Amino acid sequence: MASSLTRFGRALCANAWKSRAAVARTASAAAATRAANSYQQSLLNVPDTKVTVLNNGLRVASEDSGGSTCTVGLWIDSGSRYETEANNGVAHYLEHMAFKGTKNRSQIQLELEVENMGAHLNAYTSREQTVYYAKSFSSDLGKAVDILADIIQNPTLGKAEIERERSVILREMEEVEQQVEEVIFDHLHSLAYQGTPLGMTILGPTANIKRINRDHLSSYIASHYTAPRIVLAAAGGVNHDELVGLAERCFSGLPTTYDLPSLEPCRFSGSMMTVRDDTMPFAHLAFAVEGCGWSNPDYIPLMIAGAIIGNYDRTVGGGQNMASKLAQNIVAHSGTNPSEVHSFMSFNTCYTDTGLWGVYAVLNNTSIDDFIYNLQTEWRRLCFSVTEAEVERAKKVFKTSLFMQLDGSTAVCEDIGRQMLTYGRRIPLPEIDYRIQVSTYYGCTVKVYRDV
Amino acid sequence: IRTACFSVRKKMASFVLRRAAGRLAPNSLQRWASAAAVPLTESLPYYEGAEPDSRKPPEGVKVHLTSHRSKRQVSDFFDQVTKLSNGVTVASLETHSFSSTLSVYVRAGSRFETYSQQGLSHLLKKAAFLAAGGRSTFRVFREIDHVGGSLSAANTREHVVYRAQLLRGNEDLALDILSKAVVSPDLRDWEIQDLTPRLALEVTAHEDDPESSITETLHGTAFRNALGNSVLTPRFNLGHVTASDLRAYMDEWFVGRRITLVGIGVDHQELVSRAESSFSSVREGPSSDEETCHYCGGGEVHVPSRSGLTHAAIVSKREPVSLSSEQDVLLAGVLQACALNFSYSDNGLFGFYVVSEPQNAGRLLQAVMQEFSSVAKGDVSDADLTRAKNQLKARYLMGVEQSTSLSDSIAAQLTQNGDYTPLTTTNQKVDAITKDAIVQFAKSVFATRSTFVARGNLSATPRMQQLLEGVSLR
Repeated sequence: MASSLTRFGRALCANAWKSRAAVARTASAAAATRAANSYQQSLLNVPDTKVTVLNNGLRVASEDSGGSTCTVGLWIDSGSRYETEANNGVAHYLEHMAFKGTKNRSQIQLELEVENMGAHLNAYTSREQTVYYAKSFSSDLGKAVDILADIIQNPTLGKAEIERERSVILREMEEVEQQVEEVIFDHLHSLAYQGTPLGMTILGPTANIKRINRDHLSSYIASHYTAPRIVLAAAGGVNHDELVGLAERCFSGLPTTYDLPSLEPCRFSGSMMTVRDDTMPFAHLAFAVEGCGWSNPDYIPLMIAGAIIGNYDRTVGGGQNMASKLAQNIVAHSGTNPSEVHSFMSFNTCYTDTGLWGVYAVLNNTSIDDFIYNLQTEWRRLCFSVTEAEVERAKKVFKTSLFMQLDGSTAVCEDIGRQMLTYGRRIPLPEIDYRIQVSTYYGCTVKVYRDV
Repeated sequence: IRTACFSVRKKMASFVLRRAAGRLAPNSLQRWASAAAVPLTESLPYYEGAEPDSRKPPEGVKVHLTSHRSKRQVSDFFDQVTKLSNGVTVASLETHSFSSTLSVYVRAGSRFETYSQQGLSHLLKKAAFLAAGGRSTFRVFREIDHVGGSLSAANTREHVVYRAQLLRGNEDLALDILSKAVVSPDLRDWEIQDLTPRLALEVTAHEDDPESSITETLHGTAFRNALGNSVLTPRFNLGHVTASDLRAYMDEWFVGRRITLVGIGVDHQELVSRAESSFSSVREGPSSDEETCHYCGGGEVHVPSRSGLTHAAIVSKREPVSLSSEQDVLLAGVLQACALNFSYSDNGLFGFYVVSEPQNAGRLLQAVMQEFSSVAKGDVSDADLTRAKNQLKARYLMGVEQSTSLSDSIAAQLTQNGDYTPLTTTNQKVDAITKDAIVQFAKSVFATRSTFVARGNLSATPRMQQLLEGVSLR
């Protein structure tokens, strides 16, 4: 290990020296070249994501970066979007029930086994994906995969546990109701995708939570937890061949049907809703237009446009110096009271074929009008008079935020799982870097103009 | 359509060429408007399929591919520590990753504030990236934004931390900003005054957060000085700390011996040479003239409210030790659900924190204390011990996957032990902990008088006296 590292280090220096000798430049330009090469090289230095498709359609994807810990998980192509009015909330309910015991392990045994390993088991449900993942030592990969396989293939779904979990989920709903951001985005979806599955909440309505029974849960598993719709992703110190062997052993029993219920396009319906509550200290506002789906090539220009709008937080010392034009306008136009807008952030929520692109803001109730005016002015400006310098800056910001996120095995595993589900492949980092770099300001403006 | 797409891709390849050479004619912008119009589900020909080592970069792009797909272990990374002539410690771990994290730790946290200086380190954190060394605040923000990096600052009881995270290649800018923030900040009066409302917001937010508020109250009650200072500005001092106070504080505490620079994903030699010039004006400073911190047991604070829950914590003094000691094993495992462990260079607190429905608060606290006293009597099974050790090792290793936690861990070890312990050694130390050591520790904790803080609905919360009566801790 150490010797190969030194070889690499020497090769790095040798190449850097060669590049300097090759072209006559000033010292700083040479340093810039060396740094640029170093960045390019470091991008290429990321281990490949290896993908294997098993006979039953299950995809196994992993990135081996060495290390004594790993994250392994199941990314399932199903979520609240695949529910109906009648069973809305079942995906989330199932996520809870998965940890309540299987045919091979009771709940206590499951918890004890995980704790004894020093591992963590976690899950989350979103509108289009359900994820179960575990963090453990690399040497415990086999046990982690075994547990994951057990909880999604053999959950007991005992009647008593289901009843007990009702109150837990209702309690969770109460807590979520307290988080204004969650509530706002739920409202946004219900407005934007009225009458379609994307408009439904993930937790489901109270009536459904009280009604869901074993039949709902088991029929959901049978129809949606099928091998072609599942990705087993892993990152950290994982050997791909070992992982494939484990997958073949543990997941060969998964049904292989790919009966994807026809994904109806969820039509976007513009709308507005205000919920007035004068007891709240601030006003919370989410303003969005229809964006694009994950795989749409316009995804990158939209993210860059979002980076141009940027984020702003009043509590950051010196925050008024942000390069975001919207932030500058807000600070400039707020007259005697510079604290009208507390914070804002741009978001781009994507689904398979549609998305929401907009801004979420927390502000004083007297400045809502001004903020919307400033925001719309900014959107218009993006269509016609954004500068190339801004686009270049936004590209760097977007690139950095994408790459800096990939810190630690959990983030990388999450990235692998998500990309396998949404793109069907893991895009190598140099390609992402390149795709972002070639986006032009012209491309971005055209995109925003079309959508806003 | 496929051939049309392919010709677009060929154009894209030559586009890369020209872009890389920096000779892009303005009118070609139009033609490349649809250059990125390849769905993300399809790979670009440059990166398609082929094995990594056989990929060839387009002609004209000076990227030197080397054989680089070696598996890396964190423990394999070359970590190096150098002490500069003025006492500044520089440590780095070259991870060959595409991102770099630079952090400067200054041992000037809230424990070093005098009575009238309380809240100064909090203000220092807020003012971290204002104008410094010839760079205006505007320029700091814009320059770091221009390379897509981010700056953050934090203050703890012992340290103030300045951190920059960015993609590899811009470390010199990041170090310049960080070092000037530490060495020569302008501290303009009007900019500092503008921070008062921002401080107030943060203080309010933390007052509302039960866990944070309990932690501050615990420390304030348990320690007479130093570590008893809150990391947040106390309300009575909001707005009373001025720029000149900041300057005096920095003159006293921002000296070479107390500064540690940690770089992750940077080259050590380059970092050291840049640090030598950036931190050259820092004086070495006297050897430690810090106040010793005294633990005062027996304090009890109740903060009743109409909340629906009770939050309560009981702690006692523990000796300061390095990371992988029995205390932490205890923390991680045996009483996993609710143990509290604060470890500082010369003192510490160990105890329990529970959150419960009001009517169960007393019983829950009693149960936790009973459990602990049974450990003190030796009731620790081998399975318990193994589990606790695994959890501790896992927590530590999973933590240092991320460069920020890794930086913090390196800095903590350097300031505490003067040296960095590689992960394999830490693992061995954890494995070597015996059951007897744990039992001894459990016996020693709560030998001094405890401190108790409870917040929320206190209708059924016992007094500390009542709680300890019901439990024998010997």
